[in-house]
Amino acid sequence: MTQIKNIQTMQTTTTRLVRRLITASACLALATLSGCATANTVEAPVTSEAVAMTVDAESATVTVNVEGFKKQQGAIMAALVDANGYKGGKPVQARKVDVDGDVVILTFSDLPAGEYAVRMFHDVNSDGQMNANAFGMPTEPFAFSNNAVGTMGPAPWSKAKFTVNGADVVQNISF
Amino acid sequence: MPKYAHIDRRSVMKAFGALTAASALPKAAFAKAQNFPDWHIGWQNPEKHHLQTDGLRLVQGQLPQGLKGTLYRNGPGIHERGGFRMNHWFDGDGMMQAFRFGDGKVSHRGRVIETELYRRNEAAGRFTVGGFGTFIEPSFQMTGPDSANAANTSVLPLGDEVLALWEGGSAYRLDAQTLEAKGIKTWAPKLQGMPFSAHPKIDRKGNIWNFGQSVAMQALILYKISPKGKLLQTKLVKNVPGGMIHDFCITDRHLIFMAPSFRAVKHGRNYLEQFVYQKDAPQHVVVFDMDDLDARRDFELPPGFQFHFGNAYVETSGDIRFTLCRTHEDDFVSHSAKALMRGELPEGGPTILNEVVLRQNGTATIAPVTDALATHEFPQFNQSYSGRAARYLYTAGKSRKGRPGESAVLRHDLKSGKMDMYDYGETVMAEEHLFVPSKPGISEDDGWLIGTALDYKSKKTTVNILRADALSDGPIAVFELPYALPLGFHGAWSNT
Repeated sequence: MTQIKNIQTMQTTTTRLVRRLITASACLALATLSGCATANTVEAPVTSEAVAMTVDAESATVTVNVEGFKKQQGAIMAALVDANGYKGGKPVQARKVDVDGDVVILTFSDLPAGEYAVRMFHDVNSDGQMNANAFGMPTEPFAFSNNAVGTMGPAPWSKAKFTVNGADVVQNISF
Repeated sequence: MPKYAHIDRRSVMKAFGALTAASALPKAAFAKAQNFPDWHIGWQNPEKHHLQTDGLRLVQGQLPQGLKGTLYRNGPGIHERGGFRMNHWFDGDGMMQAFRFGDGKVSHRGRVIETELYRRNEAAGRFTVGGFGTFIEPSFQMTGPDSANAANTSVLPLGDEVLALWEGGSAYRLDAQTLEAKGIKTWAPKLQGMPFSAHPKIDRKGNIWNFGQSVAMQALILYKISPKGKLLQTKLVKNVPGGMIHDFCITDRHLIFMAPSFRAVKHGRNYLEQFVYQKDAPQHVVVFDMDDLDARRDFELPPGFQFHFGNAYVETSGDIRFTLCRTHEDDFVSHSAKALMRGELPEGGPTILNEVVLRQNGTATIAPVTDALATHEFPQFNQSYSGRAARYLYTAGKSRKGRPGESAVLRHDLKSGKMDMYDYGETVMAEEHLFVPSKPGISEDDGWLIGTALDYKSKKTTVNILRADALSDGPIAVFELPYALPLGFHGAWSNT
């Protein structure tokens, strides 16, 4: 009998998500072109909990350890955003880092105090875009800071946001 | 990265395990096994997730000479987990059954399908996301419908694999012998995550046709696949109203879809909640030409809803005729399929066999074939007549007062209007029975009806073989399993 299932409900919201992430990737591409983005990939053990270290209040750094890749290829396309950016506005900073190990480390530097979130997708086929199928469903993995999840689409800002206030922040994100 | 596969899963569970679903679940949904009526065994979990019995006990008749092959059947298997019972029949993790016939005996293997969802559920010890008609706040990032893919509806044997079919997402590949899940079937890279529905149709050349639906986009994806499983063609079709389409039918040159009056018109927390039965919305029929999928004809029929179609064919006049099992509005999907899970008797109206005519002049009509007293479901026919005029249609039917399910199997003679029937009895729920020809190319009803039935008094499932041309004589062979299986939905026959 019937089945299905689910979640074509997701389609509307997910399509929106894809658009947002695609927006992020476009911004990322711009950032890359203008030389703003830094790319680094490091093989390093991942700490099990987020830790905060005291550093210069004017130049806090957010380090994001990313793991759980289904395929070691392509790149992580990540955007650090504020509340406005989370709604689709311009990211504060964007990064593109190749996936060539179990763990990828991203850093966002010189961040003034405030609330931020990170959203990212794994550009598995290295085409610079978050791909979706003909029904608008994303076909590349995506994730948010705090490993936040959404019910029928992207995680809400309230779940993904974290505070930067002078101290460095570490986020561990698993796809 | 095999090294990280486990760590990944564990870290996901660790991260999300604290979000206890239990606190968010409606209390009424928790199982109260002691209060369930005896028939409810059909909606309970199997004894084990992997069952195997060689040489089932023959309790009546004997296995007919020349009958060799496998009956695969699929349906929701895990209805309860971690003290929580799914709200809707269509939601639990799929369980594939394989009954192998040959050398004078029948064996059984049943295995819950190890989907991504199943692994996640098992690791968490609870259902991690809802499906069709149950809402469970997901505790992980869903990436699309396949995150909730229970692979629990139907089956398509294909080469040395069988595909476990759902409706909202990808097919799952299973090893035909062990039923071990081998991952998702992606027909082509660009089709990743596209739905592949539960009722593929095989045309007279052996090509496989299927579809997937997006009610949000009011679109269908059409698939044409070679007999060996190679993708030959796909097409995205728009402007198909977002009525819940579960099945379709084919003539020898057309694909026919009906968008029911059960339309996705509102926001829902699960798939089902989006739909409303619109008493004034006509059913929308779309007919595609197999040889030119751009050639499309549209028809309208009075409001209605159905899951399943019988055979279709083109008359010499050019009119198209087909049968379908029309439910009483959305009674079954919206209410009965939930009541059964709670152990309550459904109160909805019957499902009635109807015939549709799509005329050359653009008009369409629908009329009942069976009376309004009894339900008829799971229509089947001799597959070698696929797409051309067939005289006989087989159903499970005859609802009883005070008991759920169907007790009988029937043969409908669409030419004379006569019915032949075998009734399994008061305490038996008969499932879908397939027509298996005894020899290809002989008369249309020379063959067997093979299907399962669950006796809720003895708490045993049986596999039954009847002569298709002599149903009322009763089964010529009955094999009994040493356990009850949860009631399933659809099966397929393989000669190997």
